[in-house]
Amino acid sequence: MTGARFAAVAGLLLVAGCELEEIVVPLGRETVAVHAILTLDSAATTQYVVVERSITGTVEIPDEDSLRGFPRPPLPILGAAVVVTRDDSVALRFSESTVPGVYAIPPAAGAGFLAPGREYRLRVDLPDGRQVRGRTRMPAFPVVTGMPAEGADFDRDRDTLRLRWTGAEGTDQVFVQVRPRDLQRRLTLALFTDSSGITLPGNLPTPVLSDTLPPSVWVAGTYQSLTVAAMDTNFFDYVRTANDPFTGGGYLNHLEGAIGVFGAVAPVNRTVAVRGVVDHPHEGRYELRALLGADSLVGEVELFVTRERPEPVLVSGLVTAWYGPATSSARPSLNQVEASGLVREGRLGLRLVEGGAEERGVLEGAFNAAGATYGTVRGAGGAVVGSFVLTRLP
Amino acid sequence: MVSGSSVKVRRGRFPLLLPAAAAALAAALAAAAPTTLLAQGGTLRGTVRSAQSGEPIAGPVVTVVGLGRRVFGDSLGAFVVEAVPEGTWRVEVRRVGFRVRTVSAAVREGAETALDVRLDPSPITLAPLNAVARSPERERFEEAAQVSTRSLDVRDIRVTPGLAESDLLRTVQLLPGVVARNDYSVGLNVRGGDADQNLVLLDGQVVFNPFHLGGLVSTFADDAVQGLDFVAGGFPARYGGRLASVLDVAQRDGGSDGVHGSAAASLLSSKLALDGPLPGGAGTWLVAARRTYADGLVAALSSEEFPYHFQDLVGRITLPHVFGGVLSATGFASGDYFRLTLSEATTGQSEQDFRFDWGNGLAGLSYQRALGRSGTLTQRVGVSRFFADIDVEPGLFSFRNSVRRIGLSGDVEFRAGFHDLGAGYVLERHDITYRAGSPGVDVDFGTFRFRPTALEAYAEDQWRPVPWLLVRPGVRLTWVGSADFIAASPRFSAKAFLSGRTAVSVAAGRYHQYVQSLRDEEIPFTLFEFWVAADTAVPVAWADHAVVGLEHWVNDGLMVALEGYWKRMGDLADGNPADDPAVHGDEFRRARGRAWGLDLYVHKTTGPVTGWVAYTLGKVTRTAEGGDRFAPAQDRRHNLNVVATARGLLGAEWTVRLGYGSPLPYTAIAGEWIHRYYDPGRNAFVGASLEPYRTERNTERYPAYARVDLSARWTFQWLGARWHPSVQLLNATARTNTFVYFFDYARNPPLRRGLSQFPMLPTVGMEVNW
Repeated sequence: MTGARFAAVAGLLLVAGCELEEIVVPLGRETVAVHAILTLDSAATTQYVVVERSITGTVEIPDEDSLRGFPRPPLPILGAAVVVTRDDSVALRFSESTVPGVYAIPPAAGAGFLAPGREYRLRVDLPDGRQVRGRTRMPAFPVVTGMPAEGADFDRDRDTLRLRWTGAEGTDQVFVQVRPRDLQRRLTLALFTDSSGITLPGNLPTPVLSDTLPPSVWVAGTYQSLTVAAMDTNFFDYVRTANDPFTGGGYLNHLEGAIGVFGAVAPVNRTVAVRGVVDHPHEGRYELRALLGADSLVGEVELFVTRERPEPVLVSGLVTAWYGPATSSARPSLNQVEASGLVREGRLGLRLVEGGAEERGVLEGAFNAAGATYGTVRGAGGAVVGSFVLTRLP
Repeated sequence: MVSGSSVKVRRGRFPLLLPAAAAALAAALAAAAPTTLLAQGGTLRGTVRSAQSGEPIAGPVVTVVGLGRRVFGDSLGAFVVEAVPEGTWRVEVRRVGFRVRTVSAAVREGAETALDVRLDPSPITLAPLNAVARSPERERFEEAAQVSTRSLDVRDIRVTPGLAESDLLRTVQLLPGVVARNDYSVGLNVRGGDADQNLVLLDGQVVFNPFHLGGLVSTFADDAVQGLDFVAGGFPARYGGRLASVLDVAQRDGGSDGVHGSAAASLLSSKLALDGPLPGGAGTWLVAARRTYADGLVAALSSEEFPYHFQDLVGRITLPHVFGGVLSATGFASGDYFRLTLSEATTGQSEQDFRFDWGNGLAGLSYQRALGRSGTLTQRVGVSRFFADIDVEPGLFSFRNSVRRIGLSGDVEFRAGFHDLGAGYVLERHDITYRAGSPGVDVDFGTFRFRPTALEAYAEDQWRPVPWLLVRPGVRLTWVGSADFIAASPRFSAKAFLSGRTAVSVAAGRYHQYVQSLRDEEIPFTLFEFWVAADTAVPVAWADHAVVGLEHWVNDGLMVALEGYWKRMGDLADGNPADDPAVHGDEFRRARGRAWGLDLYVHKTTGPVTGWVAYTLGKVTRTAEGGDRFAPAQDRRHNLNVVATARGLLGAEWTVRLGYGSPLPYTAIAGEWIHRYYDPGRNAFVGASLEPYRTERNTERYPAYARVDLSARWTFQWLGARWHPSVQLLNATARTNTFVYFFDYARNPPLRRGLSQFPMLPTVGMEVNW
């Protein structure tokens, strides 16, 4: 990206010579922000609504990265009455969750409440008397052909997914997303289209070189979620518009009394295990044995190189593992464990994550791609909790 | 186009004016001069041309010495003297700006003698039968009922300080009625109009987006430009298709006395221009090129890559002897090219590149010939194109924008008594396409296409019923097929002379525009325009102009003009961000606007100090479709520019530009909200960004703008060439002019940051002519 460096330097020089003095301004004019997306996904553990205040200079937000992850509003609004009413007047009241500003209902409470084609109204009564209203219509699931089976293998060097869909009522746009299961990894592909299909070749690149983004959409050695979702107009406007920094306008807001979204999606989700051709000395099958205090972890790691240049070499792996007391022969298997890490100056650092969220430990040691790698296992907080050996399998 | 100190053939703008004056003068002379009655005799018929370029010279004075016969040639230099007695006569040919030439002609009874007279250019001399050589503005004052028209020649453009080098559009920004939004844009907001409401012509062909570097510089290379006319409002019936102004740029012809050239280099670009005669004296040619060189310099000095360059290429061929008329061809191509390697090839992955190219192109033919002794016919055909291509390779994203215009147009001008009649037509077809998609995933994000055909015809008559009054009614008919639109636009202007140096003018008219841009004018920089054409969903925009003006010539080199204007606009296409993709017809909203103000223009062209003062007092409002009324971004109450050039220190020609603008509006940001991103695969909000939201639209004002620029240009001879080193200093007082504010409410306390416009910018350049 040498050209980018020049462009960035030229831009910085221009801006540095042209920056105005920073001055303090009065506090802004507060508004309420509400995020609520109803999902028809039966696997969803809850439906929830985020109610918070806008940022007007009363708190410091270090950077946008601090806002990633599950919502933890810096300025939550507590004590709001959040009700979603269906077009037949059946209503669901959302309760305050353990996270301030997040109101939720468990799936049991909402069983049968959400259905395609039904209209829903949101009403949020704030403690200060203000009110927020919104309206949405639940779309129907798209009928998608070409979708892989849940947990199927996908070879990024050989396979191509050709998806076609019909029946995405709501808007004539469909939302398509490919995302790693691991919450720490970033989204690799998200788009909406009014086409009736999409082709996702295994070697589809991501357009940005980044330390945090892989160079391609499909990353060998990971579990990735594929989503094809029908969406309502509110969700469509919410993903495609935003206020620009020059005019402060541009976002299509369909809420009354607040900015944000009350939308609906009907997603078809699949998780695939992404593999590839083994064509790098680091790539291949390894046996993993780890001692973690009184427990042991035994398994097999299929390791793939995600990115070779620039240094360090990024690696990912699919792990089939069993975990339990070292003295017992019966150890339950772990669910969809992935390894992600890097090889830098001959040292391996590999993070094990189960189910996309639960970290099982970090392996560190001098990497021997042809033989055995010995090292330590660190737990949450960075303390050494055990040791491991990773042995190349023929 | 008539330059300041020499007279050249005009191409299609006011060709009747010179022969009209010549004809009037001829009538007076015929009444005063002795005549000889001759039963028969021979005929002298000829053409007077420039010895340098071979171009016909309009309105020469031809005298048969000793016979007492004197005639005036027409706009193409042709003359006829009838009933000349047999014998050998001396024929004297004169024209201001050329050396007098006397040729010998043998006349035979009943026969015709052909003369081809070539005149050499010379400094201005006053001839007894010719008025002092007139500037275009003076000539227009005397001969035309037309308001709001300013002329600049290439010298005006060259001496005016610009960004590293002279810039045609930046010079136009200094004329009255024009608001320059900021230093980073060469867009023109004329009397409250938007930047897409200006008709920009190069040799009569339309140029859609005449910008480089995101609007920082214009695409016109001044070494190929002869001059320009800028009409800021109330334009006559011969102009149509835009609501605000006409910028008519004329390229110069090549020379006929050998190959000449010029080369120049500045901190921004390098230029080369060559011109000369065609073989056998068939005509002349001109080619000029410009290119930035930062990428080449970086590549030569390092292993790095500079990802951007722009280039321009123009050319012109003139053939003055085609079926009795002049045929000229113009070509123009400009492009900006941006290449970036996003990621290098790695294991299992190819290199990924970002490419962004945009540019203009045009090719046109123009043919002009005399119709008898009192008329001129002009016919043009041309193709204009704009393109913008964005690619993220390999195949991840593709955006294509193409705007193409094919046009056929013609004008006929005819003088009959005290009437200068004009009529003409424009038949044009636009093909505008936008296409975005991802070839790699077989997804089409959208395709939009507009293909309107339009036919316009006009007729006008400039009539001088009494010597002190010019009246110019006209009408322009517009038919736009795709919009099922047909309308007649009346135009009217009149000029009443209070004296030989003072006149009052009025003008009014209705204007239409069926190709508009959707670019958000509130965003302070211009990458390029997003053109759409009228159809069943997009309206044909209209505007009404009314202008009243007073013009006074203190002397032949100093004029003062004061004009009041009023405009209203309607059916301005505004993109509808809330359009439903499933619904066709809601993509656009209609806005309307009003503007009024006063322009003061003082222009001095002679004496030790030359230049101009341009001041505008103006107000603009816009009303969106929902009734929301606001001040648009170009609403500037006071706008003042003073440009003065004089020879001074160190033997240089110095130019100083003083600019002042009262505050422009902006929309303040009221706060930021956390725009959270929802993952339907996990039913979770997993990401977020801070996004501003605003107060009411454009209720705040930036600080006032002021800037002082200096330029110095030297001339010396060396190695048989003329060298012109130059130095420019933009923003000589290093004043901080605000470009844009950014608000950060994620800080406690909240902060306002911003970017300024140009800092103090010294640049140097060198030009050489041979």
